[in-house]
Amino acid sequence: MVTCEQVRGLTGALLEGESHPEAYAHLAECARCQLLVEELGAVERAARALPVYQPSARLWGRVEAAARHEGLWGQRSWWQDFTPAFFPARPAFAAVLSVTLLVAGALVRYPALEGPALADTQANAFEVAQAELVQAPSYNDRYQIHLQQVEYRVMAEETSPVDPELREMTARPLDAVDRAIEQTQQRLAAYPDDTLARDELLRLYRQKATVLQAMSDPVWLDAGR
Amino acid sequence: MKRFLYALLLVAVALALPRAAAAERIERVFPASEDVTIELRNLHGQVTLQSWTRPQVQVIALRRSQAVETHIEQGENRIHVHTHLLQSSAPAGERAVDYEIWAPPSARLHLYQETGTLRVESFFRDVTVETVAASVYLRNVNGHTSVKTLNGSVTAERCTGRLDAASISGTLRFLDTDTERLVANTTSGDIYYQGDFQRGGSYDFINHEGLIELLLPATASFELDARSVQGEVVNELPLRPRSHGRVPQGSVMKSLLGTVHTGAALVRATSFSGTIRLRKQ
Repeated sequence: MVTCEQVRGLTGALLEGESHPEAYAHLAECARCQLLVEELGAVERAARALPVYQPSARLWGRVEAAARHEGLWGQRSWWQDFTPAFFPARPAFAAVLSVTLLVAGALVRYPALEGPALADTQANAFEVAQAELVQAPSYNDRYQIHLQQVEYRVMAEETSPVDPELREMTARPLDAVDRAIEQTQQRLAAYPDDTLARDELLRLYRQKATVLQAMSDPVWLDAGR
Repeated sequence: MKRFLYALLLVAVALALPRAAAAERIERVFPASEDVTIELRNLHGQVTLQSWTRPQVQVIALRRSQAVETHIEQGENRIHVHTHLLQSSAPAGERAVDYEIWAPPSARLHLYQETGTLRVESFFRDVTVETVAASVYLRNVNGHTSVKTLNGSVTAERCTGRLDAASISGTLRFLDTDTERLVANTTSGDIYYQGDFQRGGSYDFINHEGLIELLLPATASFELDARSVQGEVVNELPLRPRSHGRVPQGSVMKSLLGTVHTGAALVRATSFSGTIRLRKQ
């Protein structure tokens, strides 16, 4: 029987659709873990359905403050502050989910955030992500910005954990995804209402996160390096 | 001149000897129950996993050089087969370890490999495969199978059960498969599907560019939702479109939604700039 900690380590994999019968058995009996997985799934689903919205600078500032308040967005950088308990096993999933949370947070209308006093803001990240979504442009831009930050961390020469040979092997898929993202963004710039292109862009972002995961995932590095 | 050539030959032989001597064959056999799990982590090489009827797991490893070492161990109902790199500067050819593994057909497989090829044949429980650029061949795999590769191709032949195959730049091929649920997802690779669809089955084919080709028997029965943002959909099958009259067979369009025969399965094909082609076998 697996423990709660182990199941939380598999959260990303479960949401990506991987089969882990031992985790399913645990979830059937552990309401707490079940709730966690359901909530994370809801965040992901909410982000998939995100319409576009450009929040005001003031609202964005409040969202940022609320995320900090909840410990989801740390003082140093969003990348450094994801704790192992929350995002233990899947850096890419963590990256995608973190982006999702930030993006979702930025794009939803959460009543508490509209209040006058910042100190009163008690935004719960999951409620934020699942709250009513409003229409406006450029969630795509924010998603891309955050994904670029992940890429920068992975690719930066001086800090990169990526083995040069692995970097070479992943160059082709990374180029393919980047090219596809660029094409899809051009399409969306010309046809902002093209939902098929928007779905494709989200899929491509996930694929890019997968490439970055493979480049930084200890599974590969620990395999024999 | 002749002496110089002999000397050169001697030097070449001397250099080659340590490598030849370094090649090593390791064979291990473990008793195994029906629900044994095999975890393989390999860097480079040719790997085959096949089932047999014995209650044992046999692992034969062929190590090509001393730049790597292999660990083959049995834990609690789990066989670990790991390759470790000892010399990080070793070129790919010297990182190679070939594995031949025999196991009960009910074994669960977790396989991770960077490059080379990976063949899996005749297992009926969960199979998970992740590679960077290794090609993956599956045959008669009948459980829940998940394959993820960045740059490798995936070929699945005569597989049933549920199959998820994802690649970034590799081609995905499905030959005579009889899966009830298939998700094929690639960015710049082609997708080929040859065979029928199961009644009640669900099939998703997604790429960004390249070809999605479904080669189907004349009796195939399914609901179709095929869309290409900038590419085209070409259909050769008798299809009743969902809304706007009969679509002439072979006509070209960007999306095609409708029913072929009684619509017994659900087929979704989506591409950004690629061609989606439905052909009769």
